[in-house]
Amino acid sequence: MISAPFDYHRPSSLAEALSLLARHGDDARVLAGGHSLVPAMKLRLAEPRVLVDLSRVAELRGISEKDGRIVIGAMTTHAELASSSFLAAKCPLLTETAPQIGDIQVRNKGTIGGSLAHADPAADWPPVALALDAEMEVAGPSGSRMIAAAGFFTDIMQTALRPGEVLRAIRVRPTGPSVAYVKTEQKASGFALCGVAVVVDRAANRVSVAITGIAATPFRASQVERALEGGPLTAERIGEAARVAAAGAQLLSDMHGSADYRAHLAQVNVRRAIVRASART
Amino acid sequence: MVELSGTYQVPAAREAVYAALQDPEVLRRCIEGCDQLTETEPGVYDAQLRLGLGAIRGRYTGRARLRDAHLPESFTLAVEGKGPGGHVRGDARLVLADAGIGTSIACHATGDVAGALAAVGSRLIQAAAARLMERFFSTLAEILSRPAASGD
Amino acid sequence: MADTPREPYVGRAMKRVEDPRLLQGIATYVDDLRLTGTLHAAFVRSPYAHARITRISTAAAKAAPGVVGVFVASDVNQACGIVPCAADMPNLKNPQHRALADGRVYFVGHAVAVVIARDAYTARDAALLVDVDYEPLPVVTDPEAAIKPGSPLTHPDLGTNVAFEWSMSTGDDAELERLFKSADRVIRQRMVHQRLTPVAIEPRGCVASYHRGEQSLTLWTSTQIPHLVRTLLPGMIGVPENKIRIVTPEVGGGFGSKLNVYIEEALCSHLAMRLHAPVKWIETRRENMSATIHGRDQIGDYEVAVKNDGTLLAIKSRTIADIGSYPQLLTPAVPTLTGLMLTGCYKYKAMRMDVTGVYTNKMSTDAYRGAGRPEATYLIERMADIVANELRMDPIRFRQMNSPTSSDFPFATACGLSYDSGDYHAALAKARRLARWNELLDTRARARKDGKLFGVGVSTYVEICALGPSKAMSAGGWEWGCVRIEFSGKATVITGSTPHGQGQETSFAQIAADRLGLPIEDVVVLHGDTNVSHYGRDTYGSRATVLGGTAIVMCIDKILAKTRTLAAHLLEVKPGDLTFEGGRFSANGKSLGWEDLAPAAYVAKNIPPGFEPGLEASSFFEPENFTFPFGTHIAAVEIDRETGETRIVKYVAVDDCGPQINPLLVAGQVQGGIAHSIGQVLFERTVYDEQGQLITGELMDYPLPRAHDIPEYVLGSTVTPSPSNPMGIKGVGEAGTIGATPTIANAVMDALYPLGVRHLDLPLTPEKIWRAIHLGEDDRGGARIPEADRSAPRYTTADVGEGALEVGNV
Ligand SMILES: Cc1cc2nc3c(=O)[nH]c(=O)nc-3n(C[C@H](O)[C@H](O)[C@H](O)COP(=O)(O)OP(=O)(O)OC[C@H]3O[C@@H](n4cnc5c(N)ncnc54)[C@H](O)[C@@H]3O)c2cc1C
Repeated sequence: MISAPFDYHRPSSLAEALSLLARHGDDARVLAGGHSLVPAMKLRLAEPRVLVDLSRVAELRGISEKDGRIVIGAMTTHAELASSSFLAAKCPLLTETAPQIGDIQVRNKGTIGGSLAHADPAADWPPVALALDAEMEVAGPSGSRMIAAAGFFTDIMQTALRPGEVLRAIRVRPTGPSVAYVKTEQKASGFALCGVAVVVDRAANRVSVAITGIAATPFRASQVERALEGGPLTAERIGEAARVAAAGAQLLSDMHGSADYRAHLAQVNVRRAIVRASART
Repeated sequence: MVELSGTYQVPAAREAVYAALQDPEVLRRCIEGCDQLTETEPGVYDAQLRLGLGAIRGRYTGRARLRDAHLPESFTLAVEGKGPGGHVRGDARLVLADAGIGTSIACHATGDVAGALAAVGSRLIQAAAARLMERFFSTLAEILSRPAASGD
Repeated sequence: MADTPREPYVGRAMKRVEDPRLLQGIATYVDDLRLTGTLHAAFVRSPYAHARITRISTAAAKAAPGVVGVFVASDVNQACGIVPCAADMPNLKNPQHRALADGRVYFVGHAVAVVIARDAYTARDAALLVDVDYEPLPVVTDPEAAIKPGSPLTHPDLGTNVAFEWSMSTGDDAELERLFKSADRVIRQRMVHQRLTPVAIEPRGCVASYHRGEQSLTLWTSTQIPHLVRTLLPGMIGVPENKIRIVTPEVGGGFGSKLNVYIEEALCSHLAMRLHAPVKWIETRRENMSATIHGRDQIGDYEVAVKNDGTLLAIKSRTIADIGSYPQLLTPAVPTLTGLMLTGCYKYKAMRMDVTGVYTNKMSTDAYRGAGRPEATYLIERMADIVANELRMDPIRFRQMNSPTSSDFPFATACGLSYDSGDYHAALAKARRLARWNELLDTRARARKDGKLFGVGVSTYVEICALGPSKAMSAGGWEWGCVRIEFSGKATVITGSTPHGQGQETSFAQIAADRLGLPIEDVVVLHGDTNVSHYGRDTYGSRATVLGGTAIVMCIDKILAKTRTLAAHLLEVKPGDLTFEGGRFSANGKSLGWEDLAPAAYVAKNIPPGFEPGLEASSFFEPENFTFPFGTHIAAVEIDRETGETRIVKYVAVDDCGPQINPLLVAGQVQGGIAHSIGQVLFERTVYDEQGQLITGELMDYPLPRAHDIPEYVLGSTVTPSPSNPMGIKGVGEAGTIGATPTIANAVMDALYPLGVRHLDLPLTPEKIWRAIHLGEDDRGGARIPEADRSAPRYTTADVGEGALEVGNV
C-alpha cells in the first residue's frame, strides 16, 4: 500500500470509539479529517496499526451554546467554522481564522479538533484557542475532564491528551468584535510562518495575544499583554509592546524562515493584529 | 545534523550505572518506544523501536554497538536505525563521573538522518531526539533509585 | 458546403478541441491503461546522497506474497545499457549512467533495486522489505567548492568533479580584450540561477509490453519525446528500432522534465521482455521531486565593457553549471544555449563564455522551460539595469540605444547567430503604452513619497526558438508531418511533434482546415504514437508549431498539387484552369469537392495516367535557421517594507511570436510562462542540505505559485513574421518564462534601489528582501549603490518613439 497496512473502524458513538481505543492501546490512532495524519501515513512517517474514524460520531460535531459558553464539537470542520453566522456574531476570531487555513479541500475535511490534537507548531487553531482561553473537553476511559488551552500544548506535536483520550469539544466564551488573526504563510505549505491571534477585551481592558509558527509550541505573548495592561491602545503603546512579541521564545529556524525573521514577523504581526482588532468595534 | 548534550545525575555508584547501561532490559526500558532489545553479541544490541512525536511515529529497526569502552568511565554507543521513513545514524558518547553519592553522566550525541525523515520530519527530529534523551536518563535514574532487580 | 467564404480559422482565438476530454476527466493518461496481467514496479531508492552499498538483502521482499521478482544492478544493468546523453560536448567525462546503482549511490533518490509484484500496492510494500546497508561517503553539494583542490569527489572514478569545460567566443579573443581595455568602465556582477524543480502535474510513468510472437515492444510513456525514445531505446535494451512502438497517451505537462530517456523506461521495457508480462511504473510525487531532472543551477560571474555614453562593447561570462550526478539527455547542452544568447538583443561587439560543468551529489539538471535561455535573458537584462544604473542612464533609453532597429535585420550577433526579424523598439513602445508608463512612474513617485517601496521593471528579451536546424542539433532538427484525405473527404493530420498540453490538436487543425477548405470538425490531428506518427523530433524548445506546422503545410501543398491533376482530369480541363477555394476545385462553372475527389482517388478507376491512387503526403521540414521571437515585459511591484513581501501590482507582456495561429493558445503559453517566472523570482528553490539531503522533496516544502500569486496580466503583441518559414511564425512556448524572470527581478530591485541595494539573487523571498532592507545584506559581489545615486529617478517619461512596425491588436 501507499501507507503501512492498518485496520479501520468507524464507530458511531463516542463510547464505542473510546472502547476501541482502549482495546488497541498504543497501536490505535483516531482519524478525524485525515489532513495531517494521512499525509504522514503516506510518507510512512506515521504507521498506526488501527485507525478509529470519528466521522460518524454525531456527538462530536456541531456548534452550540451552553451555560454562556460556545461549544464546538471536535469534528467540526474548518469550512463549517468559516461559514457559521452564529460564530461570526459571537466569536468572530473563529470565522476570521478558518478561511486562512489551507485550501477549500483542506477546509472541507480538516477539523478543529484534529488540528488542536495534532499540535503542529505552525497550525492556526492552537493560537486561537490560547487567545480565547478555550477549554478542551476531553473524554477518556475514566470519564471526562477539562483542560485549559494554556496547559494543552506541552511540546512540539505534544498535548496534554493521555493515551486513549479523545478531544470532544472546545469551549470558548463569546467575545466582542475586537479580534484579529494575522498570518504570514509558509509559502509552500500554507501553514503559518508566523500567525498571531488577538482578542481585545474592552470591558476588562485587557488584550490576549497568542503566537504560532515561531516556536515549538504556540504561546501566549504574556510580555506583550502585560505591557498593554491598563492604558489605552494607542499606536505608540501597541508598537512598543509588540517589540517584545518573541521575547524568551525558543525560536524555530529553517529554510522557510530564520529565527531572526520569525522573531521579526512576530513583532510586525502582533502589532498589526492588535491594531486591527482594536479598530474593530 | 542533530546534536545534543546533557549532563544527568543518577543516584547510584559509577559501577552500578555502568552495569545498568550494558543491561539490555534496562536499556529497553530507558529508550522510549523500544519494543524489543536483544544483545546479539557482546556489546551489540538489536532493537525494534517506535520513534517519533505525537502522530508522527514510525517503526524502526536499530542496532547499537558499544565502542571505545573505558570501564567504568566512558563509552560510545554507535547507533544505526532504519525505517520506511528513512535512516538514522549517530554516536552517543557517555562519560561517567562520581558525583557525591551518585554518578553524573555527561552525554554528547550527534546524528545524521537520511531520507523522507530528513526532509519532511526535520523540524521534529531535534525535538524527538531531545525528548528521547531526557526520557532515557530520567528513566535510568528512576530505575537506579529503586532497589535492584525490582523489574516491572 | 457554405457559399459565403468563411472567416479563416487561423488567427481565431479558438478553445482547444482537447479541452472537453481533459476537463471532464475522460482523457487517458498512462496510469489509466489497464493491460491484462500487468505487473507493477516499485523502486528502492537511496536515502543517502553518496554512499557505498555494503549489502542488499532482497530475501524478505522476494518472499512477500504477490512479489514476482526483485532486481538489483547485477541482474539488469547489463541488459539495460547506458542512459544516453545526446548533447554534443567534446571531452565530456561521462560516468557510465546505468539503470540501477551498482555498489555506490550518487544522489538521494538514486534507484538501487526494483520490485515487481502483481499489484502496485504489494510492490510498494515489498520495496520497503528490501534491506540495504549503506556506508555514507563524503558528499559534494556546492559546485564552486567541488572544483577546488581537495574536494571530495562525486564520482571518485573520474578523478575530478569537472564534467566538461566549454567555451565560445566571437572569434578573436584579442579583440575582446582590446574592447575591455578601451572601455570606460567594466561592470561586474555575480549571479546565481537557483536550482528549480519542474513539477509537472502528472508525474512520469510508463507501461511496457513485449509481444513474444512478434518480438516487438510497446512502451506507453509520459514523455515529450516518443520519437527520440524510440531512437535511443534500442541502444539500451537491444530491441531493434523497427520493433519498438512508443505511445504517449495524454501527457500532463513536462516543462522539459519529460525530455529525457530515463532508467525507468529501459527497466520496465527490459523486465516486460524478461517476465513475459506488461510492466507498469507510476512515479510518486516524492520520486518526481527527487529523481526527475531539475532545472537551471548555474552560477555566473559576468563582466560588461561599456562606454560612458552607454554604448555596450563586450561581455564575458564565467559560468559554473551544476550537472548533478549524471549528464542526462541534454544536460551539457543547456549552458551552451545560454552562451548562444549571451548578448541578448544588444549590439555587443564581442562576447566570451566559459563554462565549467560540475558533478555534484544531486539529481541531474537538464532542460527546464527555456533551457539555458532564461539564464541568459535574466543575466543580460539584470546587467542592462545594473549598467544603466551605474551610468545613471534611463534603463529604457539605454536598451534602445544598444539594440538593433527594424532595418538592422537580419541581425548578426556577437554570438554568431543571425536573428531573423524583429522590431524591438515597437514592442517596447507598445508595452509602455499598455502599461501606461507615465502614469506608472507617477504612481511610483507618489508611493515613494509616501515611504513605500514601489518599483518598475522592464526587460526586452529575445529568444531562440524552433529548435532547430539540423546543423545545430545533435539528432536532427527537422520535423515530420503527414496529411491524408480519407475516402470520406475528411482529413487526418499526423504530426511528429508531440504536444502535451500546448494545443496543437487545435492549432494544426486550424492550419489544415483553412488550407484544405474543410470545416475544422472534419480535421483530426494525430500524434504521439510512433506507429501512427512514424517520424518526429517532438516537442521542446518552442518548436512544434513552427516546424511541425510547416511540415503539415508542405504536405497540404503536395496534396493540393496532386488533387489538382485529378480534378482537372475529372472536369476535363487543364490543371492551370482550376481555381481552388472553399475546399472545391472549379472551372467553367463546374466544381468538385473533397467528398468527390477523395473517393475518386481511392476507387482509382477514373484517374489520370500515372496518377498514384490515394491522397496522402508526408514531408520533413528542415528549417534553415532558428526563429527569434522577442518582446518587452513590464512589471510594477510593491514591497511591504516591514515583512519584505512583494506584490506584483501590474504586469504587461508584449510578445512577438510572428503571426498567431491561435491567440488564445498564445495567451495561455505566455500566462503559464509568466507564472513559472513568478515562482522562480519570488520563491521557488530546490534545496539540498550539506549532507545532500533534498529538503524540498515534497510540495509542503517546495513552493509553487498559486492562483493568488498571479496578478492580472495585460497581454499584447506585435507581429513580425519570420522569413524562415512559410507561415512566418516563431514559437511562444517559453517566451513568458524567458521574458518575465528579469522583468520581475528588475522591478523588485528598482523598488529597493533607493535603499542602495544593487543586486539580490533569486528567489527574492520576503526574508531575503527583509535582510537586504534591514540588515544591509546583499548577495556576494554586489557593492551597494552609492548614496548620491540612490535618489536618481532611473526611468524617465521620455518618448521612445513607436518603432517601424504597425503594431497588432492587443
Ligand atoms: C494541503 C494542506 C494545507 C494545510 N494548511 C493548513 C494551514 O494553513 N493551517 C493549518 O492550521 N492547518 C493546515 N493544514 C492541516 C489541516 O488543517 C488538518 O486538517 C489539521 O491539522 C488536522 O485536522 P484533521 O481533522 O485533518 O486531523 P487528522 O489528520 O485526522 O488527525 C491529526 C491528529 O490528531 C488526532 N486527532 C484528530 N482528532 C482527534 C480528536 N478529536 N481527539 C484526539 N485526537 C484527535 C489524530 O489521531 C492525529 O494524530 C493543511 C493540511 C493540508 C493537507
